[in-house]
Amino acid sequence: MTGETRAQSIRQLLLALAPSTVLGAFFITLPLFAPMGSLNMFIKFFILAIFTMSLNLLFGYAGLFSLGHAAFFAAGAYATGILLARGVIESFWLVAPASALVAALLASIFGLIALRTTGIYFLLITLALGGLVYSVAWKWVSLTGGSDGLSGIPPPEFVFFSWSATSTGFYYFTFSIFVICYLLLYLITKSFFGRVLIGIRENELRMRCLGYNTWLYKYIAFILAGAFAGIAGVAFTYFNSYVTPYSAAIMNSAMVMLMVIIGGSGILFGSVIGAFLITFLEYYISLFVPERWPLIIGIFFIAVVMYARAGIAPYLFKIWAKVEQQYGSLKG
Amino acid sequence: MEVLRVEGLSKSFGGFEVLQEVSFCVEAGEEIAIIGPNGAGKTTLINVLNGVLPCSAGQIYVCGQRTTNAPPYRCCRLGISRSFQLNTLFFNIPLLDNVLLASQGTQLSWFQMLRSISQKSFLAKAQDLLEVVGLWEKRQVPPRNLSYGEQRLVEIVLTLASGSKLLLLDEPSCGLSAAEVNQLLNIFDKLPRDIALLFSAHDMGLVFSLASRVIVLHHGRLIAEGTPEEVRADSRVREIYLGGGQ
Amino acid sequence: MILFILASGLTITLGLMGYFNLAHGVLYMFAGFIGFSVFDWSGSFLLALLASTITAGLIGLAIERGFLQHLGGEINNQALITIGFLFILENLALWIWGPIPRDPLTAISLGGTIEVPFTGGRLPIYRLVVIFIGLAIAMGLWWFDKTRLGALIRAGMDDSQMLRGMGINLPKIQIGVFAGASALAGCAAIIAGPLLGMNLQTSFDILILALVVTVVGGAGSILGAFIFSLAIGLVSTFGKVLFPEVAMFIIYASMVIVLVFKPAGLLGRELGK
Repeated sequence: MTGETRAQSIRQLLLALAPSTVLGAFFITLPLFAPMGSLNMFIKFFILAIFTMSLNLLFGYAGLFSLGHAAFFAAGAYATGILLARGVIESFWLVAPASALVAALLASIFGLIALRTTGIYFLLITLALGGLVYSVAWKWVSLTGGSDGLSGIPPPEFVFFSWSATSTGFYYFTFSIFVICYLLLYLITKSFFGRVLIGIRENELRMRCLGYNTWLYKYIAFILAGAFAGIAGVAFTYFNSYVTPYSAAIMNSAMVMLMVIIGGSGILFGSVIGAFLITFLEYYISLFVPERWPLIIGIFFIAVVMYARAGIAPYLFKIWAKVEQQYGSLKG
Repeated sequence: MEVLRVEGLSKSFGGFEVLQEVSFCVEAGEEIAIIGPNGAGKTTLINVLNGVLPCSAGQIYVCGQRTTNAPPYRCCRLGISRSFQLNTLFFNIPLLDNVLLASQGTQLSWFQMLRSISQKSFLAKAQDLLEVVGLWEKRQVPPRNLSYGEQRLVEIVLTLASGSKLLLLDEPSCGLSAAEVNQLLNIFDKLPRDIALLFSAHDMGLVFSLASRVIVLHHGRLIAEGTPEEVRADSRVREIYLGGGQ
Repeated sequence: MILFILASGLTITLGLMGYFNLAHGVLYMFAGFIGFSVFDWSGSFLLALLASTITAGLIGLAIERGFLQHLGGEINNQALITIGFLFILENLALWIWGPIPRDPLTAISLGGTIEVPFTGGRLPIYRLVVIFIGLAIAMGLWWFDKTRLGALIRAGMDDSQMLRGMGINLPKIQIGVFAGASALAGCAAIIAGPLLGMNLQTSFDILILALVVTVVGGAGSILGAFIFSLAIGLVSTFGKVLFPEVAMFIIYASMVIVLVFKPAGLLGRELGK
């Protein structure tokens, strides 16, 4: 490599890493200058971002339109709640993996059922399965606390320390979980597995004729998506210190689908954007007109689907590509 | 070596019999054309051989292995690839990705799931394939932005990419101009000697330039088989194609 | 029976037009509220019925013309947009009428009971009226299905280009159907008025029930909707009394089971999507 092209490659690399570094620095230093109230918003954003990315894997990449994804979120949330509120286990290191496992297990069962269908039937069946979970959460009072849910859940215990949900410690806690999940999902989506999912989304018949066992890929994606949703659920329960049937409600499934689409389905970072946008909007709107939130989100929803179906991420990426072009090729 | 053996293959939809007792063999490296009037069952035959449709009766053996009613992906792994009459591509992703996906369907190992899709060896192979059809420069273009003729070439390329021993081509020259058909013939020329072609066609020119053997289907039955000249001279075939053909 | 009226609307839109309208339930609620208000103001049941039916029809029309029409038949987008409307209308209703649930209408002229022969029990007249109306609508829809118009609509679903080529004004028909189905929802709301009252939870609960009926009975099948709305209505009412914990679960589970084994519903047509 000549000196010039070497400098160019380094420049390009720096440019590519710039956004993540800037964002990373922003999030890490946030607690220094932001009030606790908005820190809470960011915590919620991190949790919802994980939830959104999980659905993006299923819908954006594999093309499976599910309106019952909240079921896995709730599974993780309730598993955590039940284990903690009943005082069965206390350590975070046991509760969290166990709950994620519960969500993954549920996904493995639901996947077997739902993946026998396609198209609108898949949509309906995921809706129904989500409803099943909701009805269990609502009615099995002895287990789930019914409509009141479970409360009084203690903060995460890490053996030597614990953070209450309103501390900066908790903020870094959720931030780390978010970063880990993001990196894992990034790896998955950029890998061969992720490309196969895209192929399945684009033309499943062709993929099958090319030698891919598409059902198996879809099934694995389903389970992974469920597992990550469950992780988000775990964090959610710790954050709120309670869990209610709402986490399984169809409204929740619809909201996460909205976040995927607004941010940009099929683009992992899009989910981060989508989750941030909705969390941000909800936070500020609830400061002024909390009762009108569903109305506003409904209008927003329709506007996006009608006019910006691809979401925000593609636009951002285009702009960023231009920036890269401009600065990446400057000499010296 | 026998690449394909079909015994007594029948397929019916409800009461409607589309294929009746079709039997034939294909040796390695042979080029066989399936001809017949519209509705004779050519595409159905390909769909059944490929695993896209289950058969109602009969057996299929690919490279000695039974593939009767096996799902398409198993058929592909065992050595049989197909192209579609209507371009069935991944229209919205770059051409290069189309080929990369196509070439790796039969090379799978779960340990490699997390690697990148554009590993050197596969990239090189994709480059070879695209250069043969002269589309390497357009590798970042999604197929929906290509011309019909180019898309058709991509359709064939995707089928070649799996490296199967037997290629089922459903009307490969469908919609192509004479020049484009020549390009197609060039590609087939460059194929390794041991790859067999089984293609359905209406274009008799293509049949005569390419096929060493011809199978004639009529109402789902195999009514004639032989070299192109033999089939052309066959009286039953002449009856069916009276005034038709090319 | 009320469920039937609502569900028939849904099954028609879905089966005959290929439109997936999740806002159907909220139409019920919204139009219902309007109707209730009209009743408060005018004291006339009939007027309320008219008001809610027409409003529902109009809103349905607006949704279809303004939005659904432009989506090109992609079910996913339809589901999303109608969910959006669900949010909007539900919140609007909250805004306009407040969160307090409405008690069942007391329409004095429709009260009273009659004696049932043989059993010696007493049945409210109104319930009989409801059953009667339900049957009437069922027969009406069934007859409609058999008419040329019904056949046209079904043909339109299968191959709209062909119909247009034949010079038939398909869009107008489609509008009519969608508006009609929506109107049915509004109608159902007021007919249910004296029996059920209205609250905010309703939009969602009723949507689920209607959806289950549509799925189990089969999209586009009036007969299916009829049979299963009865069945599910029974399960729902008795279930809540006899085994409350499991009633909801059973309803959802039946939807799942049908979807797995016979997605077209027990009596319906393939949606082919």
